[in-house]
Amino acid sequence: MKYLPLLWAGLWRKPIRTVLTVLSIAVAFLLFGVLNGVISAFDNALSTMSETRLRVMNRANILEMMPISYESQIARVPGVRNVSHLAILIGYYQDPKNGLSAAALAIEPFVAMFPEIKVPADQLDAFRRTQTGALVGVDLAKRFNWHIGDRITLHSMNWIQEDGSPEWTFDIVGVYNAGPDDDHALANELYFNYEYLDAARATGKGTVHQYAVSIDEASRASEIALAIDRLFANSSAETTTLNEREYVVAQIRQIGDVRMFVNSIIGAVLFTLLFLAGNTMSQSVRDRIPELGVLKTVGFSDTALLLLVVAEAAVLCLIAAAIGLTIAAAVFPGVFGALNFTSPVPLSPRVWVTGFCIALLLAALSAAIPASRARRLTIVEALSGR
Amino acid sequence: MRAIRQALAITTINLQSIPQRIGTSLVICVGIAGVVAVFTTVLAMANGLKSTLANAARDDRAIVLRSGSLAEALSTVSREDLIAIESAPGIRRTVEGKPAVSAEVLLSVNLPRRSDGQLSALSVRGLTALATDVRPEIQLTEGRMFAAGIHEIVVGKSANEQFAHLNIGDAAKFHSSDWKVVGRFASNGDVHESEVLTDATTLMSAAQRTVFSTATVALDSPAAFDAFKEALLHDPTLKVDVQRETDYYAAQSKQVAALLEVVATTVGAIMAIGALFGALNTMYSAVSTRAVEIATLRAIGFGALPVVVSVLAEALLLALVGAATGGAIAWLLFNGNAFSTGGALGQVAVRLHVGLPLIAGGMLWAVTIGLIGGLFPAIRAARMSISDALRVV
Repeated sequence: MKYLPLLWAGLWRKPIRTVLTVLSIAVAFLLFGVLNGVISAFDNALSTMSETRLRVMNRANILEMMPISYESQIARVPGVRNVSHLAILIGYYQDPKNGLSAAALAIEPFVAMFPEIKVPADQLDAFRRTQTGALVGVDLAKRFNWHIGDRITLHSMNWIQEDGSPEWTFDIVGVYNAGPDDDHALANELYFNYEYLDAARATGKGTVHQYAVSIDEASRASEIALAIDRLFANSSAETTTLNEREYVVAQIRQIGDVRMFVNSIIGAVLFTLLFLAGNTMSQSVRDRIPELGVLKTVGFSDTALLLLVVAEAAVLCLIAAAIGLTIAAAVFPGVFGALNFTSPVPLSPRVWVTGFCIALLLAALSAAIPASRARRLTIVEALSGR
Repeated sequence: MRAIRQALAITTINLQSIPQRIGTSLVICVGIAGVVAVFTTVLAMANGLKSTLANAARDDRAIVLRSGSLAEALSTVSREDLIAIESAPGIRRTVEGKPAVSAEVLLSVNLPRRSDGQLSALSVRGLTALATDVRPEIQLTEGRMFAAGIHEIVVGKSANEQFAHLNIGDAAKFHSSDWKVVGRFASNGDVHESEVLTDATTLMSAAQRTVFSTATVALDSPAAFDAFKEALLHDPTLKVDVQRETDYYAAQSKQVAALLEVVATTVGAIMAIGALFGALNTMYSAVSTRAVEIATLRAIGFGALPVVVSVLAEALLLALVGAATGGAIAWLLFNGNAFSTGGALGQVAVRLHVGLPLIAGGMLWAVTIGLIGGLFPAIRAARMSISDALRVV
């Protein structure tokens, strides 16, 4: 602690240099915070996924249909507790850029199988009574300023009504909160009654996109999945069964190599900055060689000098990281909202921890050469400024 | 005139001394190289995506989709619709005198990728007899065309590269059948190279579909589009959207390309600010290293302006070296590389194109950073008190 003033004085020896270095590192941590935040938001969405629920879909592709008759066969597979069918409506609200997908489902099994969807009992009753009723996630409702009692029209890209119209009208009967952790991915959905879709659609009657299957034990998930797929092997619509986590991983993979892309940018940024910080540190040590000689003369050990230089780098990098991450946390919700076209989520605490760890690593790497140089200095050489 | 001579002299001396402070000078180069590399790579992705889709489009072709379906794979066009479409005006005739309309069915199937064996969506396009008339750019490069009525496919160049087991002689398994690969095709580097083609009727019966997805129509001329569109929109039995191919494909790439452009500019700008701080740092320290030299020059009669010029020239030179390095890194690592994007509707392989306009754009950023990064230190150098600087010695 008593060395703190010395450390501080070392940093402020050249104020302009220190400020510029801190700012450039802060900028790098700002980028790191935002980019890494995007990735960990995806991961976060994954960790809330259930492993005791499976999704059955057509092996050929997620958009291909399966007959609804599969449901009773799946229900008879040992270990299966509940089955619910879903048909997806891909569409938009008012303008093609307001894209959303809605799920048509059977109400009773849905209520039993998705306990994380929290709806007040009276709204659920209204959902049961209203053929055209829709339950919307709290985030989705906020996005389009929808309220209970509103009548909305969605434009479907994959279902037309019997008169050829792609417009589907829904009455919003409930707004739900998703999960104990306010799962934002889940709070962006719209659920409606499968009966409504099936009665009104012009094509594909009696077919569904998915079955959600709840099972008794998570440990038997892969065994049950295999048993389900075996039921429909060599039929005209073969199936693939995944647990919900695998299902979301597969979805994200379809978008492309997002993770690799973001990680390469982070890599480029951090490399650039390591170079910059390392340079500043060695420059600062070079400038102070005579001063370091004086410190050695008055009795500082070699190790103490090494630690002093490393500590200086650590303080510099930590301050810069704190500034960068604070700004990242402030702008992140907006950035993520814009990228994902959904409502904002806060920067995950994991990003903060990772950020500060990287700052320390950066300090250690950038101080390595100058610090070992400071340690090796002989007093005579140092005092003569060589 | 004298000022120019002086500036030249100081700049030459200055540039010759760069090797002595190579470490700090590299900060500018590395910082700017990072900015330019990231900026050009991300923009190259956006440009690659746009050109992959734009190459597929011709302004004398129109695409007919079911009203409001926006994407081919979500659209449906029935055989009755097709008859109505074929009777519309403005359609080019084939040599046999038939209307050049290609009814197509587009499905996605999940097949393992070559890179990691994970399942990914591949677009399968079912074609009718007239397809090659309507789409002459589809050229077989190997093997032969698929035969109608049996399970045969030809694969696009990119699909062949992206997916496993799609070489000639292999069999791809989807919709409960084995589809034999009999040929490979190229299509002007466009989005169709990420697809496999087969006979529409065979595909529809395997996938249990009764309707086509879209109809692509070759027009007499680009000008015939309006009459064709009017005729279809006024037909009460049809509920369709009619778009020029150029408009359709531009709309398909718009959202992702715009997103990539935003990412390139935002990340590029933030990195540029970081690099600017680095450049300022370097130049301030360069000026302070050269303080005695500059003061001596001023004392023997050199003006302030040549000193400013020499500092700016150094900053600019280092910036340009950095930009060239960054551009070269982007070009070497990523030019011609393919990345795949898309969704459940089918992956599209996009080839990155790091071209001159992109590198020129990167250079412009570099020059701006170099100029600003050099300007303030240059002003300080010019205003330095000669006597103070010399007293340091």
